[in-house]
Amino acid sequence: MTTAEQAQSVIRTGNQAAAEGARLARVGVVCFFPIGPSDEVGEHLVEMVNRGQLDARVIDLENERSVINAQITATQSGVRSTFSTNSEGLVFAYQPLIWSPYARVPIVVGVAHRSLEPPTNIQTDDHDTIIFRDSHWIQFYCENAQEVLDTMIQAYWIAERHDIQLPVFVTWPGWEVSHAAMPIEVPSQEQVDEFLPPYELLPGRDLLTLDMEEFYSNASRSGGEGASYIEQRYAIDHTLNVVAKQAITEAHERYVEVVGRGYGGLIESYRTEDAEVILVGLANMATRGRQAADAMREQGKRVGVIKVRTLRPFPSEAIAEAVGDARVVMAFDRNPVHTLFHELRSALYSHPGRPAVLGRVVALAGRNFSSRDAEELVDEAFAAIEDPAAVDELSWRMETVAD
Amino acid sequence: MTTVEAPRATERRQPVKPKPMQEYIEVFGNLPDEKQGRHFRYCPGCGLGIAQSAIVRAWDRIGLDPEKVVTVGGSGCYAVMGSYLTASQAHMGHGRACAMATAIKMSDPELTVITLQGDGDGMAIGAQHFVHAARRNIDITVVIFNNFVYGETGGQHGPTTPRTTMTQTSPYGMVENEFDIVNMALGAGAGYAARTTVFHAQHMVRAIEGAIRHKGFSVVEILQNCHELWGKRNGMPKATDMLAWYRDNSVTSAQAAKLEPEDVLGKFVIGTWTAPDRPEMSEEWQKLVARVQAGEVEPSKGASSKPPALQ
Repeated sequence: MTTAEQAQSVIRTGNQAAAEGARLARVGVVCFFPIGPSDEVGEHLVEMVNRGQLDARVIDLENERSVINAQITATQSGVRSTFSTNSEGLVFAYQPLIWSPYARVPIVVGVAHRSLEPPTNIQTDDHDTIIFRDSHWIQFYCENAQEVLDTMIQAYWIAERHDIQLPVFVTWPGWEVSHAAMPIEVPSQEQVDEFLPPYELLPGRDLLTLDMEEFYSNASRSGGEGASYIEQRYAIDHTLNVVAKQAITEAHERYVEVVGRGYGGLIESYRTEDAEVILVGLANMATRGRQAADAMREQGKRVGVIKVRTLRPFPSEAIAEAVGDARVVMAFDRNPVHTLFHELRSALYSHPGRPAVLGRVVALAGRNFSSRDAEELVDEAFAAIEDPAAVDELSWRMETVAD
Repeated sequence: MTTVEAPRATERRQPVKPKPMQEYIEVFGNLPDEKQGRHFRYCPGCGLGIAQSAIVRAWDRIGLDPEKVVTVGGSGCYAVMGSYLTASQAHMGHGRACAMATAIKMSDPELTVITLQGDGDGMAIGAQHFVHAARRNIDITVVIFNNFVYGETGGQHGPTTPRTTMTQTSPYGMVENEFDIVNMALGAGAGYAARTTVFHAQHMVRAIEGAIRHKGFSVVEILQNCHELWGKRNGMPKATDMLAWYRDNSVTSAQAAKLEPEDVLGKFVIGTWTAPDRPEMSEEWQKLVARVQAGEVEPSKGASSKPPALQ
């Protein structure tokens, strides 16, 4: 049987795709606490459990902090778990979310992005997971429902590898992806089982047969007044920025081999080979970039796009390689702290060509960001080639033009 | 520990005046321009409208000065209610109302502080603030709109969902037990707790009035119809279905006291419960500060202090 025959074509929203991904990963614990637009993921999983399509226990707790603690405990007990939340829910669960990487607990959390409050808002931007940038979480940003499903499965493989043992965010834009339906290919259970082995604890890390002498994840007890603190932090940082980078690329290659679909691993480049201007964005900001690049190329302007799939580890080397001889790199930052702009500047500081790096804050809280908007920003980038001083390095796009 | 009180005779002699909602809101001054002509954002038939009406009627009966009233809310269908009232409102994250209300009362004990909370907000993510505010006996009034589900997010089950009933996330029936909000409050130290329903509108007004008049922590649980998300999944698709259900399944605390326990099972016992007075937090702090400043009390002398006589 070929790959195409085994897989199933269906119409799914981003949230449904995330639930399908968790189901195929054979999660044993489904955690739930409602918050729009993420709560549908849990609802679909509860339905799957009730219908017997998924053999899992549903744990519905009183807030997100309790839920993340439950996920940590389930994972430390050797059970794969799933949970999706966003914005206020993530911020509320800050303490156990920070605990998980430093205790080396490989949980996977789905995030259908939602803007942080106040003001009260249910629209979407990346800020809710961007603020976890500096906490050694692996972070994937997905562009559409298909990528959500595929990344969800890969996330467990990466997180649970015995040489990684770090938590992973799999994120997708709220509403625009979470509630937009598209045709997707759902891999067969056999394919996923071939790609993703059952979750196995590191030897000596089983919470249920805990030997405190061996159990180093509980740093406060075994570290002895912080004796091994710096060594543990070094190991985690090295794991994230070196080991995980290789593992993400490897996951991509293996997934392509088994399922037949991929997104380039750390980054996905589009028409960058001869580009003078390169647009960089997370998730569906790259979609806008590609539309603008196609339109500009018809005018003879050489524009390329890099979709950054992982904010952490930040793929500095892959980006530098894709940037090549480009003159201007422009970040489409869908967060108010212009993270991508700073990351790119840092990554390209020692790049031989030293391209100008510009930052544009766009589409906050679901503000319209049309391909015409993107094209106008590309014009600014070309103006920077002529006269760098004439263009703002960092600016906010608040007015928009319709497509 | 608790005593059951029947509605007092004086209350019965003073029926609630049938004033229209708008007039009660105007009692507290003119609406700002941006609120003029605005319609309520509740679903058609939602019990929140009746509950909101009862709250302002209770204020009217007490004669509260809107300048001295603060409502505190978090997230949920009810969260817009504060903006329909002309009293000040404070709004924060999901479940934080009791913590915020405690701070407001401590900073200005002259204020009447009322939290407006949903059952998901107050009993799940905000439950710790609720029980600690009750323990401290801070003089605030907590109004819990209990519609059995997380309404704003689509009707998922929560800590107040009655066992065996259907919700978005318990389509085959809720398996967990639900909170008894009144007993939880009294157990945690509240001096006044009431349960009422949106069908029992006049009782609701008196319950809220009593709660606000009570010196100390007080709670009013309002059983509120969410026919859209809970009723529709449980055979009561219309607002009137649920109101009739509350009518037919409620007994007063006085009636319940005369019934056999098994006859009370499955009924909503409405009424008011009080506990003996305990010191109120904001007042105790003021007293302590005054006594320290007057040199009447001294700090611990360590090991040479006298063993305490617990009160």
